[in-house]
Amino acid sequence: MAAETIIRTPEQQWTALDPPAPGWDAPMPYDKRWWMGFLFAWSGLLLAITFSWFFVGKQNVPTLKREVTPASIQQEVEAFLAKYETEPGSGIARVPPGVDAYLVGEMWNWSSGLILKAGQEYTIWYSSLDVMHNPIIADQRYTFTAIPGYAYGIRITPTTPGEYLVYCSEYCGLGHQDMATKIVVEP
Amino acid sequence: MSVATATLPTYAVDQLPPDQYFVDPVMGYKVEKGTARLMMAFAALAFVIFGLGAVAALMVVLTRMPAVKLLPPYWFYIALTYHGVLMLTMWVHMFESVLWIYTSTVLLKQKMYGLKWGWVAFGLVTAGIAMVLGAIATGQASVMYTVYVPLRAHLLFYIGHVVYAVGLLLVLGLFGLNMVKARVDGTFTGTIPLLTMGMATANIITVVALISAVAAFVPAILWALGIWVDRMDPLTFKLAFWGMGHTLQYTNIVAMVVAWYAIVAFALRAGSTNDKFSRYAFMLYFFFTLPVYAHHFLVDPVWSPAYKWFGATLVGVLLGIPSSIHGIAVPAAAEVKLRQMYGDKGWFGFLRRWGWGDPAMIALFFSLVMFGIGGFDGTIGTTLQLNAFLHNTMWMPAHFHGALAGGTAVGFMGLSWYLLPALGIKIPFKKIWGQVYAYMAGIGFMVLIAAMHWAAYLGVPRRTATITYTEFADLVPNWFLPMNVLGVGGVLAVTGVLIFVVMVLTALYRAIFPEVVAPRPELAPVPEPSGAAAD
Repeated sequence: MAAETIIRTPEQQWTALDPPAPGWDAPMPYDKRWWMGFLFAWSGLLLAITFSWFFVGKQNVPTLKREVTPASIQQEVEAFLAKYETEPGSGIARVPPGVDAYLVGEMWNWSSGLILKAGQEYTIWYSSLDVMHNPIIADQRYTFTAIPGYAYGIRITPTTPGEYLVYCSEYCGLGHQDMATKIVVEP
Repeated sequence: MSVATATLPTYAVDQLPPDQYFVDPVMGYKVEKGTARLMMAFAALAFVIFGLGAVAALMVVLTRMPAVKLLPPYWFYIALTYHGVLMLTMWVHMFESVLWIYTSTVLLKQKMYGLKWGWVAFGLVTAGIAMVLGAIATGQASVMYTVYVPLRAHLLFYIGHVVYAVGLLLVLGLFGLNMVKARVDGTFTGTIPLLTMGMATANIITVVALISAVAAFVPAILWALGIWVDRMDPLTFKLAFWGMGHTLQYTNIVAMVVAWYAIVAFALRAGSTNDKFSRYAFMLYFFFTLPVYAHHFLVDPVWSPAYKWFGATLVGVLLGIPSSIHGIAVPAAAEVKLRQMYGDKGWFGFLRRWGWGDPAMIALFFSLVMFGIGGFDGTIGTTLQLNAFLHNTMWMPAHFHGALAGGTAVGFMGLSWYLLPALGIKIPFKKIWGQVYAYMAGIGFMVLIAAMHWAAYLGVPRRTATITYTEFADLVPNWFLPMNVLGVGGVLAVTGVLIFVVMVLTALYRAIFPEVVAPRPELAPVPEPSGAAAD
C-alpha cells in the first residue's frame, strides 16, 4: 500500500489519538457516574471490613516489636538454647508454655527448631543477625519478616499438631534455598 | 511575536519540506523522519531487552520446574536477577519512551524538540543498561529486586542504575519540553489527546519515583564505598527503594492503559466511550499513586497497624478504582464501535466480532483479563490481614505476572502490531505469525498465573532455586505438580514472546538499515509481504 494513502476519512469517529471531540466536557452520562459511584462505595465497604477486622478479627498483624542489636539478640538466643535445647547441639528447643521462643536468621541457618504444645499461646521473636530474612511456616503460609536490628514478637497459638517446615523466603545469598528448620506441634 | 517566530526554524510538521516527513500508512499522521529514527532506536533497544529477558525467563522457569531443574543455584540467581531487572523496569521503560516521544510529537503535530538530547538520553540508558548487565554477569550482583542493604551488590550495579535513571529523566524532560513547545509555537491548541494526557500522568509518576530512587541509592552508594555513611537502616532503605520500585509500576500500568486505548483506536478507530470518564480515571491514578510503598511493610516490625492500613490498604483499594474504570471503558469502546459496524446481536454478540484474527485485539483481550486478575491479586495482597498469609509466597509472582507480564507486556506486544507500521516500519511476516505470538503469549501467561495461584495456595516460596529442602525433605508439602504446570505455561509464554521479538526486530532491522536489505535491481522483485497492518 502506498504511503500516501490515508485510511482515515474525516467522518470516521474520534479516537484517543486525537484531540477530544467537541462537547467532551459535558456532564458524564448516568451509567458512567453510577459505575464510579459504585466503585467508591465498594472500596469503602472493603476498607471498612479490613479496618474493623483489626478490632474484631482473631488473626491480625502482630504489634509487638523492639529494637535490638545482633549481639544482644545472639545472647538471648544462646541463653534460650542453653536452657531448653532437647539435647546439646541438636538446635531443637522444647518450649514450655509461657516462655518466649526465638527464630533468628543468619546466613543460611535458623537459630533453632521449636517444639510447641498445641493450644498454648507463645511469643516467638523473629530477628536476624545479618541481612533480611523471612521465615514462612509452610502449610500455614504464616509469613513475617526477620530484620537485623529489630525483634518482632509473633504471638501464635498453634492448634493443629504436626510437623511444619519453616523456610526463608527473602533472598539472602547463595545458600538461601536450603535455609530451613521445623516447628513441631505436640498434642 | 509573529515577526520573531517567522525567522526561527519551525517544528510544525505541516510546514516542513516534504522530504523531511512521511505520512504513516495507518492513521495518516505526518511523522518527521528524525523523530521516527529516535523512536525506532528506542523500540529496537526495548525489543532486544525483551528478548534477553525472555531467554532469562526460560532459564528461570525451567529451573523452577521440578521435572527439569536446569540450573544450579548460583546460575539461577543470576538468571533471576537478569529476568527481573530486564523485564520489571528496562523493557517497559524503553517501550514507554517510544510512547512518550510519539504522544508528544506525532500526536501534537510537530517534530521532536531537542532531538540531540534525545540521542544523548538513548546513549545514557544504553550505557546504564550495559553497566547493570555487566555487573550481574560478574556474579556479584545477584540481588534481584530485593537489593535491601545490608545485602551488598557490585558497585557497578548501583552506578549503572543511576546512569540509566539520568537517561530516563532526560526522556521525561523532553516529553514536557515538547508539550511546552507545541503550546508556545501554537502548533497545537485546545485540549491534548487522551493518550498524551495518559503519558503525561505516567511521566509525573515516574519523576516522583526517580526522586525516591535518589533517596535510596545515593546513600547506598556512599555506604558501599565507605564514605560518610557507615550504617544504613535496612527499613529506611527499603522504604525509599519501594517508593521508587512500586511507584514505577504505576508508570507501567498507566502506559498499559494508553496502549489499550491506542489498540482500539488503531484496530477499530474507536475512541473511549466517554472522554471525561477516562480522563477522570487518569487523574485518579495520579492522586492515589504517589505514596505507594507501604504495603511492602505490612509484615515488618515498623509502624502502627493504623499507619499500615492507611498507607497500604487504603491506597491499594483506592488504586483499584481507576483501573476498574479503564477496564470498563476500553472494552466498552470496542463494543460500541462493533455494534455500530456489525449491528446489535444480543448481549454478547459483539464478542464474536471482537477481532479474533487481529493480533492486537487478541492481545488486548488477554491483557484486559490478566490485568484484571493481577490487579485483584494486588488489592488482596495490600489487605493488612491477608498479607500475613501471602507475603513472599508465589502469590506475589502471580500478582505481577498478571499485572505486568500478562497486562503490560502483552498489551505492548499487541500495540506493536500497529505502532510499528504507524512509524513507517513494515512487519515482513504473515498475519498468522502475529496470531501465533498473541495466542501463545496470552494462553501461556494464563496457564502460568493459574499455576502460580495454585502454588501460592500451597505456600510455595518465591525466589528460590530449589524447593526440596534437603534436610527437611519429608516435611515439604506436595508442591511439585503446580510447579510443573507453571513450567508448561512459562515455556509457552516465552515461545510466544520470542516469536514476537524475532518478528519486530527483523522489521526494525530492515527499516533502520534499508540499504542492507534492499532488493538488488538485477534480481526478480520480491512479492509484497501481506502481513502488515491496515490492509
